[in-house]
Amino acid sequence: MDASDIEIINQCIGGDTEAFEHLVNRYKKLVFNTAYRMMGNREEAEDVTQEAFIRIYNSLSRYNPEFKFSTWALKITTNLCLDNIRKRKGETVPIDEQFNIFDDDLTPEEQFLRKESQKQVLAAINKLPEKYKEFIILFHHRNLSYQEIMDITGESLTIVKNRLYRARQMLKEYLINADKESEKVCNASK
Amino acid sequence: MQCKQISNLMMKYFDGNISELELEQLLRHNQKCPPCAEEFEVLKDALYEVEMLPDIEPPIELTANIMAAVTNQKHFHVNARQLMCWALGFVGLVLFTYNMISYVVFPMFGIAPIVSFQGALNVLYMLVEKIKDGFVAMSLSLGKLLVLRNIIFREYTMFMFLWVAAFIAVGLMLYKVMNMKGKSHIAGLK
Repeated sequence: MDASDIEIINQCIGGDTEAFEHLVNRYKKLVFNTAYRMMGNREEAEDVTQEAFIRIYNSLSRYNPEFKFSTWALKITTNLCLDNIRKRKGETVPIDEQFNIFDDDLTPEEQFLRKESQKQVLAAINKLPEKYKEFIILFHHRNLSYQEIMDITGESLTIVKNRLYRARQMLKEYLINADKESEKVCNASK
Repeated sequence: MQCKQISNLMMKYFDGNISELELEQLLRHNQKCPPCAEEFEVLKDALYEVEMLPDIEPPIELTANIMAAVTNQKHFHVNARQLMCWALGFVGLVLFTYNMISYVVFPMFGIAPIVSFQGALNVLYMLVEKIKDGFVAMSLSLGKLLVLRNIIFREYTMFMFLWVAAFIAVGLMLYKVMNMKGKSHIAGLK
């Protein structure tokens, strides 16, 4: 269990399929959560995670140990997510509303407010074009460095910075517009 | 300082590489400029929210599913031994069928069992004859059908042509109507 990634990979390439289970257990949380935030719902995230690990298994021999294994796994995952999002163009996809992180010391009202703002942010993120969503999730949600994002997406530093910049601008516009709209609704109901 | 420059400073802030001096400029500008301050607050809250999005547990059966998929996949790689087993099995089946037919089925109907090569050839020849007969009968009935078709064609050409034209016209109309609907739908969205 304490073997390093590269040792496990070499075992897998040598024909020991069981060893792959250690890798899956080590990285499933990372892959699954990234997929979940990209796709916005659990079912699709599960499908993507499974397919990603199968792809990882089939291309283990092409893994370049220069990069971290997590970077490589995320590269495969995000590519799959982008493919799947492009494929579903035009269809509406349900967005899960599961929020399970509440500090117990929050009052019910505070929890409700927290939930509402989370919902708004999630809706705004899911409205972003997939190419921009990817960068927001990798940088702000997964807290990856520029270098890692460059490795994952294969883009240059300038493009990474530009995309992040544009993505934040869009996010801000969506949120400010959503605020105004909800205010309108409030005023109308008064 | 221009709001545009402030926007760049904000991005630096969210990138996490703003200097103290720049941060001071940013905060000072925001005190005097409510729109910039609002933008900054909205974005700060949103990105904090993104950062705080909880990691969820992947489904328990995920690892098992992946391992099952990975190991199942292996069976598709046919190795030489498996291929030989299949070939041997096939040859055995052919021999068994031949023996059953020549020593059990034929004697049951009172036909002499075929043991010689000549006997097998005779049966084959008989089969070919039967097939030829069947073919002739089939072409005869086909010929009759063709004659019928010619009659129908001659008598009803005009009628059929009108039907086809009507179908095409209705199809085109439907297509046009649907296209218009689609377009107005998109325009409505925008």
